[in-house]
Amino acid sequence: MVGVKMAAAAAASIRERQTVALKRMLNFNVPHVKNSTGEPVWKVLIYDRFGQDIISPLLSVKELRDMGITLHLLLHSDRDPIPDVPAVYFVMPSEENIDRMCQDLRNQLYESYYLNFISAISRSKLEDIANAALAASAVAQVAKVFDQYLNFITLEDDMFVLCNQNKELVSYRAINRPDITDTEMETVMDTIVDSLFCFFVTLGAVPIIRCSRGTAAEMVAVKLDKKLRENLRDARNSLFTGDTLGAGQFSFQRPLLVLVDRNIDLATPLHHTWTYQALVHDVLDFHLNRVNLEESSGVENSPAGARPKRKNKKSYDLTPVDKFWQKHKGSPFPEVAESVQQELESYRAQEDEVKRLKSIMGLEGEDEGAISMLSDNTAKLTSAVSSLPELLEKKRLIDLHTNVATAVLEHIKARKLDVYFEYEEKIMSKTTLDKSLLDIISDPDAGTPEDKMRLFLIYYISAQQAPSEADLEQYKKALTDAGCNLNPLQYIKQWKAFAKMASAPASYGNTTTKSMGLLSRVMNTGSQFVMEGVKNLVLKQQNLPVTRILDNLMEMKSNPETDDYRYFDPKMLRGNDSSVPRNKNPFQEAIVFVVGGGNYIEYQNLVDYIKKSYEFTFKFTIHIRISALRTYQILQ
Amino acid sequence: MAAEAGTFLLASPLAGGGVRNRNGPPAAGLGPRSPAADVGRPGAGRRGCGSPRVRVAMAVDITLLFRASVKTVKTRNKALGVAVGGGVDGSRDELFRRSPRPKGDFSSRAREVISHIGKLRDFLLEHRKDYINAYSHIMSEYGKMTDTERDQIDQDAQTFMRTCSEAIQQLRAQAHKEIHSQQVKEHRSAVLDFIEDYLKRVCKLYSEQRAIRVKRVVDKKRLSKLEPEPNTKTKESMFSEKVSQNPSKDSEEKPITEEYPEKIPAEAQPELGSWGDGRGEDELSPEEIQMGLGISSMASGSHGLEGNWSQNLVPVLTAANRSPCEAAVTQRPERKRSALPHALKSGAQRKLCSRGTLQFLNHLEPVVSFV
Repeated sequence: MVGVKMAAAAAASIRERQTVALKRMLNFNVPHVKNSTGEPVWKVLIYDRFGQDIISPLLSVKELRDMGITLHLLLHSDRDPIPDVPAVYFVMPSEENIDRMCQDLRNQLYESYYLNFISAISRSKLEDIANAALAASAVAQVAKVFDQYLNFITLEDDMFVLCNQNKELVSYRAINRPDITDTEMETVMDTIVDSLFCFFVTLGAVPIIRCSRGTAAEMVAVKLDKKLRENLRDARNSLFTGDTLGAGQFSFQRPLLVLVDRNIDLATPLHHTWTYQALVHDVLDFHLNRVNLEESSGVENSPAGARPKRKNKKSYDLTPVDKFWQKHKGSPFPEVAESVQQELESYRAQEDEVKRLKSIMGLEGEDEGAISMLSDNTAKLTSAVSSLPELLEKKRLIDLHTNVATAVLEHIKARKLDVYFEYEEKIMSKTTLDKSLLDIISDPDAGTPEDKMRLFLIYYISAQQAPSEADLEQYKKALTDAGCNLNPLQYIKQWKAFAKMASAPASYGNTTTKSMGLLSRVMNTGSQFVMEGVKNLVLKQQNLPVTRILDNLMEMKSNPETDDYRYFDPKMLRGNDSSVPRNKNPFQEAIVFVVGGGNYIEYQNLVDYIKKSYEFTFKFTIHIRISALRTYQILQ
Repeated sequence: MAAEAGTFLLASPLAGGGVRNRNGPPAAGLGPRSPAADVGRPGAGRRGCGSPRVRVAMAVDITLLFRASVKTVKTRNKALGVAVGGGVDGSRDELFRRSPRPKGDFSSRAREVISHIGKLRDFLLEHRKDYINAYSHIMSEYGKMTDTERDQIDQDAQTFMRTCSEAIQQLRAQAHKEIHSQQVKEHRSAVLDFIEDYLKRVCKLYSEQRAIRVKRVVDKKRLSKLEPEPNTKTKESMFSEKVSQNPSKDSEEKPITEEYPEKIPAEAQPELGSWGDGRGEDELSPEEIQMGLGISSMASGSHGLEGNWSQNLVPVLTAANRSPCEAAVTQRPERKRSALPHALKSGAQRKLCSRGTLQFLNHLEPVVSFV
């Protein structure tokens, strides 16, 4: 297709775009050009927690240094005056932040001020700052003021989340609780829409929006459409003019925004995970691409009842630079363990090679006859030496992933997560169950109360018919014995009743998990990953509901599930209420947004879907919003 | 809000991309424009940025909107009778603003060092073409450079770099006195790191052109040789083995020093003293001595700096290793640092060239006294 090449050339991932925008901001709002003999320019960076969350997955401290930042400080912290230095602010335009900035101006903390607001500031707040600047005679020192429109956090090349600081505000619970007032709902919707709007400004494209009717997603769609429309109508100030459009330059390249509500599929967020990234998120402390591990030292040898020795806390950043992570974050866990082992072996081989060369060098000092070999070995040693940084990096990654994977494995073994995963897969795909649910719930060794509750909820959600009263009582008793709180069940009951009225329950396709027996390789080589007793499950996965919806909408397939979806095109002169798409061509770029929170399982499913169906023809970008994965906790 | 921003945005010409070639290669020697130059150019935000293929949507420049707000507030305050900035309050603020000035001593000195380094950079770049120009001895145009002039440049550059390096060290020592704030200390250390890095980058300019020149001379020498040296074999093996054994650190010193001494004439030995013995017997022009010494003094002058240069020099010199005249290597355990630069100074090198070195040296004066 002709369109493909152009899309591939013009489209940069959202992560690249946001990074470039940040760098430009840090360069005093002037595009950043590398110059090897340029004079150093230094500055301090002041951010609030929102700004910090946006910057930290994208720029490391070293990269900040490279941009000339000597200090990076929180807005609401004690800051000393540093004369003769420009300060770059990156904050949300909230009351407290504005107050603090005014205070800074009055206290003459820095030489000049470059104010950048994460989302647009209101006129009245701008006047507040003007007032403070006047009072402090500091107007000339305010060098630049910018609205950055960066109010979202990009975690992957193709995945973003709305926010981290106030995620409770926009969580599933916040949106779906029965006692929510209209004004509260408005606030929540406005927050979501503001972030989505910033996202599209940064992306440089105006999407076509599709959403299901009668849901929170529809509310978001209506508001977003309105906001985009208003901005486009105002021709003088539109943020989407020809200069700045990226992939959207050619009108047939507009992306599709699919807004779905979390309620279409509550089982997937509860589902136990089996791929690396999803597991790390589910089982360990993982936020904004940083995982925090607690390593206890020497616990095994401590006598029973003794307090374990001080636990070392370690944290690792899982970044796009981490090649192993990029390759394996979607792999099933056993494959990850095996790959770490392989990497370790290849590293050891390379290390031995370098050692060998070193010893050769040492020995041949006195031997004249070996001169001819020297030049050859010199070349080898030079290449070995030059590959040392590469080797060291490899070692670092191996250590990192060994630690992370070991931590994950410990959880899997302790809680028997493989059993849960397999069972839930069977439930969701409606294959016959070989074990009784009651057995698993009553088993004291398998899983925390939370695990059991998740399992049961999935069962309840997926069941065609509700279990009989007697059965239900039995389950409830077993759950309570295991220590579970039954509130979530209450909620799911209501939800199910409502969902039945609204539409057919989501089906998960025919998923089978094959148990491939224990990994012989991992066992035999005495690796660290002793996966004894852990099933080697391989997924043969079909599309999850979210993926299916996306597929239908992108391919313009007719399907009762999605036929009734509303259609919005902010570029059209008159909005309408129809569901008939004007645009008949299949889309090449899509953004999927789950109102109420997506999760890594769905993310991975979408990524797999892209790889499967569109290997050589399209370049896709898919974005899914993720809020707290612990939907379970939200349900309580 | 967005509505008002636009009024000002389109008033100025959308000259962002057209007038200045942002995406082209930067002119050598030009640093990034100072921030002050870009105030009031709202179109600046529009165009693309660092990576040529990523064209990012613009952030909205509301600076003009801010200034308009200031005017609004001023008018409003006047109407309400509130004092605005002038009068008693104003003078107090003036005072406040003046008092931190003495603290600016650090930054003004830092900026002085930067401007000196900038002058060095400009000087090097200005003469770079002539310096590297290989055919200057053939062409008789006005613009050619003699080797003597080159040597002078080398020497001056080295002295200058050393001076700057010392200045930075001094600043470091003094930066933390009288300051109690942790943040300010951190800030100052970082600033000094940046300056040092700048000096390194500029020195790289120098070392690159130097390496080219050295290589050319070495090649010339090699070609002009008629017969290989005696005892080449053993010495060569020890020599190349040393190269390979110390690929990273010592190579900057040893191959360089090992390369040239073989050419140093016997009569120069008493002056060199610390160089050891066992040289070859070909003559070495004063230029070559200077070159050899120059490189080691460059290395020595860089005690504050990392050995980035060695990376540039090693490949040049290891290529030259294969020449048959590499003999004359003996053990050289100590590093002969300080003695050399002062050792050989013949009258020839003292001759100042007209190229503007004079002016350059004049610039040096304030630096020296500054230290």
